[in-house]
Amino acid sequence: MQPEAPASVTLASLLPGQSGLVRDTDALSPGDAAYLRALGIRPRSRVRLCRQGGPCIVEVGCGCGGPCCRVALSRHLAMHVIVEPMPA
Amino acid sequence: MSDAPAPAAPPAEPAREARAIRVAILGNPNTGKTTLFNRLCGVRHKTSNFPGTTQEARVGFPRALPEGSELIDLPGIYSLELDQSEAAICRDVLAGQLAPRGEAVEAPDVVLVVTDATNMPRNLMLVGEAVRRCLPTVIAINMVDASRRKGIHADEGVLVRSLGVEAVPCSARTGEGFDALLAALTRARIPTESPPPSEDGLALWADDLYARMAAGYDQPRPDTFTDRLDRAFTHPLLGLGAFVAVMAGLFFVIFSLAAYPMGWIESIFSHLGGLVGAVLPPGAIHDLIADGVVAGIGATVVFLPQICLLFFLISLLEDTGYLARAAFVMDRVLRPFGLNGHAFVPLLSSHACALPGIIAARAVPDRRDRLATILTAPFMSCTARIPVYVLLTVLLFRDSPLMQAVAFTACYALGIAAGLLSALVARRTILRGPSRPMALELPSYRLPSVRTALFAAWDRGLVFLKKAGTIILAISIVLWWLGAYPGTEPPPEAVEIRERAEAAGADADALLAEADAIESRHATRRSFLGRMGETAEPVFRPLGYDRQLTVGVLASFAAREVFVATMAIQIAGRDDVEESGVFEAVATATRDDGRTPIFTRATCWSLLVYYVLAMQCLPTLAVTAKESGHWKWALLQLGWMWGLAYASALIVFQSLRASGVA
Repeated sequence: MQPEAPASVTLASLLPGQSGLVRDTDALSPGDAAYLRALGIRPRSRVRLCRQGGPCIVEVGCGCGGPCCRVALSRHLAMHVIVEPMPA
Repeated sequence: MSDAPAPAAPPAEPAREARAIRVAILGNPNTGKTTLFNRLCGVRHKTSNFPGTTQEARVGFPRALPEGSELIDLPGIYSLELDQSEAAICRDVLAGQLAPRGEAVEAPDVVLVVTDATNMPRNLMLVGEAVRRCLPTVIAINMVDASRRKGIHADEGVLVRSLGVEAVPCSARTGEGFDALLAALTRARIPTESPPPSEDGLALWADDLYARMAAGYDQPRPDTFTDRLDRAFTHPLLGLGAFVAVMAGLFFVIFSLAAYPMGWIESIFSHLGGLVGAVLPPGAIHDLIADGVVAGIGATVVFLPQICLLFFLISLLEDTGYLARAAFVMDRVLRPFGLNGHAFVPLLSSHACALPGIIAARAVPDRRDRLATILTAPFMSCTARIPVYVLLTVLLFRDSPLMQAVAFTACYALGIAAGLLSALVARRTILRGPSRPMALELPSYRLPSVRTALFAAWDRGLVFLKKAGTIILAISIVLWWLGAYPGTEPPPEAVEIRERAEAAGADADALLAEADAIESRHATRRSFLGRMGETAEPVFRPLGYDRQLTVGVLASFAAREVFVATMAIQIAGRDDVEESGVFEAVATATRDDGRTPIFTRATCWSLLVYYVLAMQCLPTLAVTAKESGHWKWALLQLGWMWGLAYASALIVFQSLRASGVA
């Protein structure tokens, strides 16, 4: 029996300290998606929610597990980034 | 950066004759581009702008490169492909279609991509975009000292072998690696590999490149220091408390430290005026130089210490990484008013002077947000308002320094409140539209660079001197002329006192001083400025201002700080209110009826509110027009602020009178 794929959630709904793998940013406007991509928030990048709220703080690392950077994101943007929660 | 043996350098080319090169410095924000530029060029740089934009352009002339070489500091961007003016400027400069004003429009000889060694994965995206331009490229892997402390290791030789360009680990803060960097710039080569053309392809390329650079090294240590500090500085309550404490400390340092050099400057220009008086014969030229030019230059230079100190401290705070956290905290406070966290630094800077504050609004990404910030900035109580606040609060609360301080603080609060409400009105009417959602990098905390902060203070001070100095000097000359002409005969009263002084012999000094004061007041009343005051007095009468106060308000229309000196001249015949007896004369002066005090309580409150809210600064209007792109915004700013000031002062005065306050 195939294991179930973990449910995708929005970046804003991750718990503080929880990590996730970005699945898509299609719900964002093209300009916002391009800007987030330039900041490192793009499909397959790993993110960790450091602080919830509006704006929230997200730690962004590349898919290869390299060093991260921190980004403050408005709640609006965080609610349109779809992530797959990673196990703790 | 790496602990492995140094990789083989690219094959050496035959030695080339040293020729001047133009280097364009490209990089993400927070990679240390400015520190690197300052280390390479020092004070050998000039600041202009890119034609057709308000974006500042710095061009440096590094001594260590061949004679005639230039460094162009491009705006910090996260991607060359973004739909932003900064990215468009970078694209056009690299394509040879744009250059700083005064420079030849041609493609740079070398692109120096500055990367952050502590954050290479994201920086490699911009490296890839730069490499696609097929220009000779050098990669500076900056902040290697910080990356070593964090246990971040990567092999730059992978970049060299993959791209065929030089990649130099360095630290702009300590100077490590700069010899190698300078040598690399003189032998830059065109990259031999380019990433795939698609965005996804670029991302995969960057990830793969970094994976190869980091292969064989341990994972970097988590940045617990930044984590711990952020838990406090971004907390909804603690963060706001920390912000208030930091800002209070900042303003305390500025106002207490800057008072010393400001006093020295006033003293120097006072002596200079005296020197002119001693050297030049009495007459129009003497008056023009002493009262127009010297006074005008002094009036500008006296603000320099506060402006330089403010930008020195802001640069230090920015370098520590805290300013981004402050913008994060302030975003929640400013957003309900149609502004965002990026507006925080311009509004903060405007408390020293609105000129650099409005220029700093260039950092606000969205055009509507930027315009709202520019329109709001002059509401912040600047240093030019302080002499007016001091005079009026002392007149209101002669015996209570505590109440003076409360009233003073209330002026600042009123300015901030009026600014925020004005921004809200603007965003609901003429600047309607959604505010850009916040997406702001929070750089790691680090020790600030004093050198970078000193250069920032120097640059901002020069901008202030050039932009404000020329306008304020012109205003001072015009005001001097309006206040000095047409010349009049001395009044009979003064003539009679001079005759008595002649007869008094050795005791003539006090009589002569009295005659001088009478003649000065008479001349001011009969001058063009005095006549303008008489004509305009009915407009300001409902606010509680008489003819003399109207002259003071009109004279300070171009520059607020002139109000106090103008009142002192009209009342006491001398322009220094701190001079013995002058303040008492001002405090007890009467209107033309000989009975009613000029400065009644109701009038003082009305004047305070007026000066908090009114646009009385021509240099600010000029910079608003330039930064907003059209004079209509400056005129709107003038009309809105003046209308708000008039209406508010009217309500305050009439309400106080109606409630029995004299």
